[in-house]
Amino acid sequence: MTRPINNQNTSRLKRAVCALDRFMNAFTNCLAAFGMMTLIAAIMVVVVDIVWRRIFHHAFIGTVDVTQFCVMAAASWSIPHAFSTGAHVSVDLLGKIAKNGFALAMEGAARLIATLLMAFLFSLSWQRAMEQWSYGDVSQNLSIPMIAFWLFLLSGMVLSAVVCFVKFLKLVFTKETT
Amino acid sequence: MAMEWAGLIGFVAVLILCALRIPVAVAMAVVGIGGTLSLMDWTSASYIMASLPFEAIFPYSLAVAPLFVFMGVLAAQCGLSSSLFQGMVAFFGHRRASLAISNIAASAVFGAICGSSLATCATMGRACLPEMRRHGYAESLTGASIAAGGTLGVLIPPSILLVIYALMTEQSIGALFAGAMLPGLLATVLYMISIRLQARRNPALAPVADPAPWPERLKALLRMADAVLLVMLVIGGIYTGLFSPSEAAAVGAGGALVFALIRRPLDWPMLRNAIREAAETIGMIFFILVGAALFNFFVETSGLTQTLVAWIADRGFPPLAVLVTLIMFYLALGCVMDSLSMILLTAIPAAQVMTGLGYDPVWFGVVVVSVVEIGLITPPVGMNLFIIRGVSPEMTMATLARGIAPFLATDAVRIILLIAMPQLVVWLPRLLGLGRY
Repeated sequence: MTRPINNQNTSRLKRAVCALDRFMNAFTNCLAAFGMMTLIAAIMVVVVDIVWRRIFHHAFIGTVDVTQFCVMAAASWSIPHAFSTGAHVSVDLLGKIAKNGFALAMEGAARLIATLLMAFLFSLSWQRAMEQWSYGDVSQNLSIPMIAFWLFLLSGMVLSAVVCFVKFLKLVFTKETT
Repeated sequence: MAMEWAGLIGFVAVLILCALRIPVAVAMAVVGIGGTLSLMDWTSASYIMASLPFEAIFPYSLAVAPLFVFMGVLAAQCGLSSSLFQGMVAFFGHRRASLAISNIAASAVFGAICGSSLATCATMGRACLPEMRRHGYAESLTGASIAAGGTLGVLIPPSILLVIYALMTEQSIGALFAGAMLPGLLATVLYMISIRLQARRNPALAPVADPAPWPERLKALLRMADAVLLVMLVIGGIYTGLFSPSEAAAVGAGGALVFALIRRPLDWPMLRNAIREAAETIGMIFFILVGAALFNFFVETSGLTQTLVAWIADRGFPPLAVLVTLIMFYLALGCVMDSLSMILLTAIPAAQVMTGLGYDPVWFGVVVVSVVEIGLITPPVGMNLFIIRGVSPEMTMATLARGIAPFLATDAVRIILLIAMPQLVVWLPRLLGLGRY
């Protein structure tokens, strides 16, 4: 009697994990798109600054701050997207000779290690971010609070950890590596 | 000595983890954290490591990397590669092997916009392969010339790999770009000569194409004007001091966006593809930078590099022998690892060792980038070869391996020339007074 119920539970879990995976893919996709929009904003600011400098012989104050802000957003929000799409570079040296089970185990280990790493980096970075917040650190020209820069990184890290964990669960439940 | 051994074990551990399919960035970060904790107490180690990911992403000088990536992706999406190829065909006429030679020339110009070997190879592959096949070119020459042309993407400035090397070894990006210019052009010319010689030896490899009427040729030449303008704007802006490299990257990306809008309506699929592709590459690059920051901090703490320099000096090894050994190491590593990971894993210690032996760091950077690129076309694992197989699955690895051999020989000649004549690299940065020159 217990087996069908277990199978039903497993199947429900599998569906839930797949749905969660699809949601995380869509979410990281959107976030990466926002990041790229900030990059386009940085491009516009720099180009306008160059033209302004040529015409009026003085630069905008804070172009560097704005560029750093935008690049920080673009980079931090692209990292979970790269995890989501499997874009992070790995070397397929043993993959071709390893048996299917071993390759799956390695893939699972890679995802679990990445989850733990991102969670660990998040916890370390969180402490430093809170420290900088308490000191009231700001950027050089526009006095943007440094915590704003940290928030991009922290959100990228925590999302990466969640993405990796969901990918790990998906592998466990479905044996699918994509 | 125990600390240095920890550094050495760390290197081996990264390679083992990479071989077990752990992503390179994750492997470097995990070994970096573990190694640092083994050398320092928790309080100091955690305090320093807490800042490293932020410091790896935050510097303004790094803005150049995502902006160049964005420029390259937009250029690839809006069909610049195809116009460049047609324009080059018009320029080189319809002599024997002119399509293969045009592919090399178009790859060189596209590489200057794109900055990535893999993207150059994939984009040029899609544009050139069907055309060369239609004209009856041998599969071996077709695939190999596109794969070899792809490597120009990283050598001809602006190059993302050169930016990363410059940032890691604290060299001037402008000096490295100027230093790579002549070797990049040399590579282009040598590839063209190699194709010409192959076609002369075996005319069946590359038939003569039908000549196109002059009005069509002129139209094709004009169509590649925007790509040439973009290259001149970026490179010229940096060399004339009009822009800093970061500004040049922003101007280039802005220019590519404008050209994309002019060339064809910016439809949703194109924009979505460009955003997705750019985000994947940027995310990958920045996370490798985080991993490399953690790993390199561990290697520096272990004192491995300084010990290595002192050990080489004590043994009295000739600097040239050390250089050749290092090149062999990179060639071997290039067979299993991608070029960005190789540079990030080894650039700091390798540059310190070589500058300690009296070599110029800019020259060494250009040599290293040239060498790691050879790995991309080394069978059976060269990434560019896989990309060609992705574009044309029916092309076998044996065919590609047969075709790539003359290009590998050309690369060997180029590396020997760069070692024998360092002026090929340092002349232009000196002339322009870039960096410390």
